[in-house]
Amino acid sequence: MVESFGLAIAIAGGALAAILGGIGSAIGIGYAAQAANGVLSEDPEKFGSLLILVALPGTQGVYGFIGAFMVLQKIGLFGGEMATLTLQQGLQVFFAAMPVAIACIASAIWQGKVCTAGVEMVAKRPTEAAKAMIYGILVEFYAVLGLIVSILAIVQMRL
Amino acid sequence: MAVIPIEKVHIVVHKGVKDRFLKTLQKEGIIHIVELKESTPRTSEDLARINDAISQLSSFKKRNPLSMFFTIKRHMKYETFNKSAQLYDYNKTVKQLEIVKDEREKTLVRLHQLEDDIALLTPWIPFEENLEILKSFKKTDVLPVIIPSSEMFDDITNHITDICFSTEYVNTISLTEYDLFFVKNEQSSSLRSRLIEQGCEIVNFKDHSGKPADLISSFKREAKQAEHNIVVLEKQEEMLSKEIAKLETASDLLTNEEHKEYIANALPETIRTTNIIGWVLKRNLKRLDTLIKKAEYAFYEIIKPDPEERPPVALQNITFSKPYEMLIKLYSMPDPKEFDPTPFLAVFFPIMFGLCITDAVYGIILILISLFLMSKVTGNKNLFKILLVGGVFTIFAGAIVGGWVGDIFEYIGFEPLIRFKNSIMLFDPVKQPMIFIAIALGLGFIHMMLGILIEVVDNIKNGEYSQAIFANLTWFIILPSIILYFTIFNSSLIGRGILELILWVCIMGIIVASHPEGKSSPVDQLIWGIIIWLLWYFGTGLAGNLFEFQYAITIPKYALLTLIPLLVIEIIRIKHLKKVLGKIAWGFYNLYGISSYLGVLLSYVRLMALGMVTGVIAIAINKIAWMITGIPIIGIILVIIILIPSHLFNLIINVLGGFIHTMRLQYIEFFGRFYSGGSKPFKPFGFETNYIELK
Repeated sequence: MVESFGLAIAIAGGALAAILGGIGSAIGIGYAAQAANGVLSEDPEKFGSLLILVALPGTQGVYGFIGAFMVLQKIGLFGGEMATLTLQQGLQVFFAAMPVAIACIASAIWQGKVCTAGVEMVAKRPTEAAKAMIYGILVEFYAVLGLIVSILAIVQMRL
Repeated sequence: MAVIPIEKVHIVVHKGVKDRFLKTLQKEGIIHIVELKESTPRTSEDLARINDAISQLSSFKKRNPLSMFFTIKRHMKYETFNKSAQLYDYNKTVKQLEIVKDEREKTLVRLHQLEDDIALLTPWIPFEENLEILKSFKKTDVLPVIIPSSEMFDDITNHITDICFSTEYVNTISLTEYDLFFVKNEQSSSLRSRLIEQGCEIVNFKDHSGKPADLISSFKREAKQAEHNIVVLEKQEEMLSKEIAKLETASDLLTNEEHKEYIANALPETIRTTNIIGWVLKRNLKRLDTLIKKAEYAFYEIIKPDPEERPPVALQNITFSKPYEMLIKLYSMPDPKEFDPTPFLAVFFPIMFGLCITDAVYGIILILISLFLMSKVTGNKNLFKILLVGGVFTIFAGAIVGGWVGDIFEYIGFEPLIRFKNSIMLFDPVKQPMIFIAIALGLGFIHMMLGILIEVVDNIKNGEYSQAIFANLTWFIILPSIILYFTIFNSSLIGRGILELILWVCIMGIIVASHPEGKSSPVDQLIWGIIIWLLWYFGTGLAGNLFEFQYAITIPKYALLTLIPLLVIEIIRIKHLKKVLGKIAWGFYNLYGISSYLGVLLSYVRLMALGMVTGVIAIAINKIAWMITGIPIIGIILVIIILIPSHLFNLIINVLGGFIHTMRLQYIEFFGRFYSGGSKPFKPFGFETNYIELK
């Protein structure tokens, strides 16, 4: 019973990475896409320049997914032998997945807000689209850091 | 390599030749005009009509998919462009388009009206009389009523007891009931309001005359005709869309014509002359001279700008570093007296960008994409050139960390490729992340030191020697010395001794002499340098005991006694003492600046983070894709279908991140040291086009 508990906690860590990253991205894209649709109703030609701004908060979902994938891979869920984890080891994996999970949900939502403002700026000044993008990408960096820490922890961990 | 020298000129032109002269100036594009009168540029009706016509036709325009992201202009020679207005009667096309648009709008309005009427009449089809009959009674009003639900009918009729009326059932469509209510004229309005209160709707048949069924079929016929008319009008538009290129040319031409008019009206004038005051690049003065001579009734002189006036700035760089001017422009143009950092960007930008991606195959793809875009996109190609060079460095960075589409060679399992990869790979970033951090920090350290060195040179150029030496050069020496002290020379007593001496001189220099304004007398500075050093030495010596640290240079404790005569001297020189002490406080604050150097340095770790994330995502993509190789035959195809878009996504997202974070390192960490910027870019009066690229 206790052994399988470790495995469950480890899977929960991976699952949370995917879930929180996904929630963050969905909310972030939601914000930006709504604003973009509003702009498109006036000027459909701006689709190209708005697409990147709308898509930017989507990367955190991918990062969360990759974090989850690395966790599942680590505990041997894809073929090979499934690791038997003690409760402690399960918790290790769980906490290793937390940086990417939490950094992703927060940064995706805020990036969505920044990109929404960017969309509004592009509506008024289409030539400045690049600058709006720059601010958006600055927010994204912290999700990258979360992912790196999670990956390093998972890869270097001995189970 | 530098900011191009620039001169302010004052041109006087006789009004008779003003228009011709402005036209040549616009064509040459050499003068940045300033001192214009207040006036708002406006768009003429002609131009507005052309632009409307272009947007009307835009849906028929054959669009290059790239134009969603980049501006793509047509090439045209100046002469052809200039003549195009005389050769083409844009008015005719615009007028035709306006007629078509007008007609279509009218037809559309009619079509909507017909559709509404059909929807209104359809439920009343069972009423097989002429609708006019409803209005023909003298003392009775007929109200056609829609009752939301047939169950409500009894409720409503029972409810209204004080008004005399009768009803006739017409139709029921999915619960909704349609009835005619007959009521005396004088009670009609109160029945109306009662029915509305009950949630019913009273229909207005307008002036329709005829049986509903007949009316509907005639409306349907008309609607069909209207739809047909719209198709015909759209066809006409499509025919006219062949003219769009010509309209675009006309729009560009008129825009520039109007810009010229605007300038002409905003120039300061006397009764007979027009004055053009502006900036010309020094190397273009000869061209200006020739233009003036050709114009005959014109004259110019070079004038001295106000001391407080900031001239616009143009940059000049060799081909290799020219594209990076774009990044400077995006940030801020340098002050005319300032140093143009473009060449340094040209060196560091691609290296750091490469480190942010670190995948050799991605580098190759990036090069190919840049080359493709360079051949397709018109106008400014600087961005693609930067990406191209960045791609080359990405290949190097990728080879070093063994990133070839992540770890795809292992999956392909082709031995020679794996051996080739391993032979040039220096380390695996996932297994040895510390090496990657060290590379990022090392590169950052060099970048930061260069920034300080530029600061030193800048200060010397501006004559602020003491700042150059005590606020900048000292740090330039201290930072590498500290590193050497704890690494290479850690075990060499002599090496450490020399470094200690250097460090102490620098630190004392910062403490007593780095205040930016008003120097105190060197004697006091020297004495206070020694006093502080003695206190420092014994203070840190005591702290050192805790960490088992010992200075290489040791002095006996009784050396502290020298403090007494030194302090006595300073007390005698009390007037100077006050001056020095305030500056020393500032000096300590400057010494604390080491924390900012540490912060700047750590910021470069982002290179490692971004570099690793590309590899990690690529590896994950490969792993996921290869899971489905088990499916026979279509397995391989599915793998390829997953691999290509996923890796492209990874490439794009990392190019964006890499580019912007590399840019940030230049702007904040590097420029922060020495760059003030804030100048306006040199923007000569010339042609600005939306659709045409002039050769």
